[in-house]
Formats: sequence, structure tokens, C-alpha cells
Amino acid sequence: MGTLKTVEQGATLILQYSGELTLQASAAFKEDLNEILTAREFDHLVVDMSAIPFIDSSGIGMLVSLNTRLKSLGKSLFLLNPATQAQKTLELVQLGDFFHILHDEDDLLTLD
Amino acid sequence: MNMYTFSTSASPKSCRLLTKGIMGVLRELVADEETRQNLDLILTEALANVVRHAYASSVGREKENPVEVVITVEYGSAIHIEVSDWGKGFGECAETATCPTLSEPEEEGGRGLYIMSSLSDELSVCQSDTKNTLSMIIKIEERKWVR
Repeated sequence: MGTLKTVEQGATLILQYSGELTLQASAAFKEDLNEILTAREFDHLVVDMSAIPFIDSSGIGMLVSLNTRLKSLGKSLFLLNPATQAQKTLELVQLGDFFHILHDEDDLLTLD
Repeated sequence: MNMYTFSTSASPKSCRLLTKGIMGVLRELVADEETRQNLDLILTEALANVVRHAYASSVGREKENPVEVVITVEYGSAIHIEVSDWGKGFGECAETATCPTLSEPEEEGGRGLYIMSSLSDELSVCQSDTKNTLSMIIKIEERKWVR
């Protein structure tokens, strides 16, 4: 199962998830996310995807759901550095342009 | 042709483990990394489909929910994948299952069948009295196999 760490950078909260994001991981991931979203203050949420070697439609569904939830709270979601399989899968389901994807950690500095 | 049969109970954990076991076999046959990633995703989606839909009404009774995967290898040419369950079948959705449309970007679900259909060359659904089988054929160029 994956591990989830958080890093605060100004008004940006970075989630560093390490592991596969699949149906198997969904319950724990959702639970961890709930705790974070209710306990932390932030304007932007960045999911660092560089250590997610494999994602399936369940994992993508979780990201879509997270995006919807943040939008309703007036906050924004960014995906940082998706690994090759994740990037290809997001493009396969035509969500490559739906999400705000950052390909460089320096791009985090542009978030205000 | 070589045939390999795998089975487990349909829980998220056991299905992902089963996929990893199958990929262990396929890694010895398919050299191309992208093809292997696609096969991994196809199998993961097919088995997740069984967990989420075929046995959706029997969560907590996973041991009673069998799932079987039959892999037939046409070496140098194609891999056939058959995923069978004994749960709720596709029913009236069987016809649309073979040419699924992609869900709207804001929708949480509805992408699994689209992924499987996009990554395979043929996809079909077969339902008998109690058994439901999702079959896919993935053609693989000769140069992508282990020599």
C-alpha cells in the first residue's frame, strides 16, 4: 500500500503519494485525504505523482473526485510530474488537459 | 499456443495480487515495456470491474466470489485474456460494453471498459446461465516478444 506525506509551501499544500493508485489503495487514500482536507488550510493542493508508478481508472476517479471537491471549496488542484504510465493513462482517457499538470517543481513557485 | 489459468476471490487486494502474478508470467514472454504496462492496466481494469460491478452486492463475502483469468499466448502474435465471474452479468449493458463511450471529465467512474477497449484489438462479452466472461485479444508485434 502507498504512503502519503504532506509538505506546506506558503498557501500550497503538497501531497507526496508513493505507491500504486488503484482500487486497492482507494479506501485508505480517500480516508487520508478526508483527514487532510478537513484539518489543513491551503489555497492550492498539489499531488506529487512522481512516485506513483501505476494508476488505473479507480485512481483517476479519485483525482477527479478530489478536483470536484476542491473546486466546490474555491481551491485548486494541480498534478505534479506524473510518471510515464500515469501520464499515458490520463491522456488515454482524455484528461491530460482537464487537470492542471505541472512538469517542473519550479512551477510551484508560480502558484500564488 | 500455451494456456495459463489463474483464479482467486474477488477483493481489491487479491485481484491486484493476481494481476501482478500474471504479469510475472507475461514478463518472461513480452519484452516491450509499454506493451507490458498496457497488459497490466487491461488486467487491473478487468478484475476491478468484477470487484466493483459483478459482485457489488456482496461486499464482505469476497471468499464466495470467484474470479478466473485464462491467458492464451500465441507466441509472436497475440495474447488472449478471458476474465470470468459468477456474479451479476452485464445484462442489458452487454451490447454497449463492447464499444464503450468515455464518461464526461467530471464523472468519477465509467472509464474502465473504455480503457480495456482502447488497449485491446478485440473485446467481447459472453454470458451463460451463471458465468460471465469478458474476452480480449491484444495483438503484439513479433519484435516486442522475448527472443
